[in-house]
Amino acid sequence: MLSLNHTGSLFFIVGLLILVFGIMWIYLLLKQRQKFKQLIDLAIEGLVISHKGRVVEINEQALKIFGGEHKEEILGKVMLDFVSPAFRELVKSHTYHNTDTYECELVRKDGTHLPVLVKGSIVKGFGKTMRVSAIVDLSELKEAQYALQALNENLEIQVKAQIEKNRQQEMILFQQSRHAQMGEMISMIAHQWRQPLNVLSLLAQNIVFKYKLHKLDDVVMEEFKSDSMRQILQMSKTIDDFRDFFRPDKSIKVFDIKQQLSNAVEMVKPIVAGHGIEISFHSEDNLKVESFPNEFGQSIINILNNAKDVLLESCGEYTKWIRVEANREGDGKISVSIEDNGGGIDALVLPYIFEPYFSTKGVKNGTGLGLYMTKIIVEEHMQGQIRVHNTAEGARFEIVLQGMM
Amino acid sequence: MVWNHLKHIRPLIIEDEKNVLDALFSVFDTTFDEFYTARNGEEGLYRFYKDTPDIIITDLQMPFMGGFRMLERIRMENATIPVIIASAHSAKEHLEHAKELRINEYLTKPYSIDLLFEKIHQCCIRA
Repeated sequence: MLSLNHTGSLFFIVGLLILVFGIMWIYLLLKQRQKFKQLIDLAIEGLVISHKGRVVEINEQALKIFGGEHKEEILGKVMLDFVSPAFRELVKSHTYHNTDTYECELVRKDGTHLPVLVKGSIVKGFGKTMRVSAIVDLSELKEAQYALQALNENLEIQVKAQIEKNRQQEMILFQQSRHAQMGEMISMIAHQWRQPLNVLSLLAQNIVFKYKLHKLDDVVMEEFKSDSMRQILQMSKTIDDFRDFFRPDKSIKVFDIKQQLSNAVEMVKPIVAGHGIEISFHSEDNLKVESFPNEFGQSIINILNNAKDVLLESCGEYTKWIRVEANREGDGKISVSIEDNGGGIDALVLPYIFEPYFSTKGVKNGTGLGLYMTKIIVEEHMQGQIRVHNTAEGARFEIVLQGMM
Repeated sequence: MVWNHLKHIRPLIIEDEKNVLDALFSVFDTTFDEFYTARNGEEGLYRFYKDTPDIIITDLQMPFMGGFRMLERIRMENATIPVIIASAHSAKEHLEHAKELRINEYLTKPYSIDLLFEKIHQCCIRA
């Protein structure tokens, strides 16, 4: 009896223990499950746990992705209902094994579609085969990507527009500088013409004098004709020379630096000498360059005119001069230097003198394009270099060009 | 107009441009019994001392010695000799300087020979 009783109480105790342990175990399991829920809610990705194609658990992140407010809206539903029809086959084919991440499209609660990145894996537990799907919302990323793409395309258009704008700007600059050059050219021709016009005026008056004094004879008339014609031809030649020199010639030619420099010097000489400035020119022979002769000549005239303007502004009684020199340097290079004794360029101004619309001469006398065009011609059209520095007495421009060997 | 009464005046013409000087030479040759020419200020100064002309007609812009430099030297020597400037530059630029040097007339090239002769006449009769 006792032993029976004893055995009975033993069973009871063991049963109690099993019950206590069972309860504890269930409690721990519940605790575990709660912890697990908390854990999956902490995940950055959306996590969906499914069993036999139906949703059994979902975390906060996934709920947000689907646009739901309560988990109950989604729990127990068929997984595939949340996949957009175009991707259902793809998703189905991935359902029964672990997958790498792949992209697909889901449907939100409100019916809108969203691109996502999905990775699925099979987890076994409690005798059940569960599937855990991690979902990353790509819509923001995609949107950013589209925006970026649009921005890129837009940027390309903007860059193209800017380039076109710059090209037009440069064309306008060239046009303006050409107009300015026309003005220079007219002033240079005017100076070249002064002497022959004066001579012609004297010749005409002389012939009238001779007539009144009854001293007109064949010799006087012949002399008058030949003297006048010489002056007239010289004037005509001046126009031709200037027209040739200032013609926009875009063809590359082999030309002699000495010849072209001498042309430029001769053209500015009447103006420069007219202001009492001495201009000297020395050049080595046979300095051949293959480039644009007219543009080169025009850029030299720009520098010479600048030197002249500076010398005119400089005060004081001293012999003003401009020296033009051309020499051969190493490596087949040719150096052309133009120096004046006009006091040099202010150090504050020096870094800007080659910039467009930069002028120290004031609106009336300068367009601010002369030296800019000179730099463009020398450096971009002729692939040379132009430098400027101050000397003890003035400024010295140096142009280095690649000569022909 | 024929300027017979200018015959006895002895002008000095200073002009650096050969063609202009040649043309002037021909005109002056028909009018004056005696006249002198020079190609720059230095030569002009030499002629001024050597030939003591009655009137000076000079260009301004010349090599070696310009017109004004020459005239400054001449004025130190002779305050009264009439001077006519014949220049391609307008008178405005040089008005101050010309006044200081008591220049009688200023002609801008190209000028009328009749006008030049009239001025020579005026200057020399006044002097």
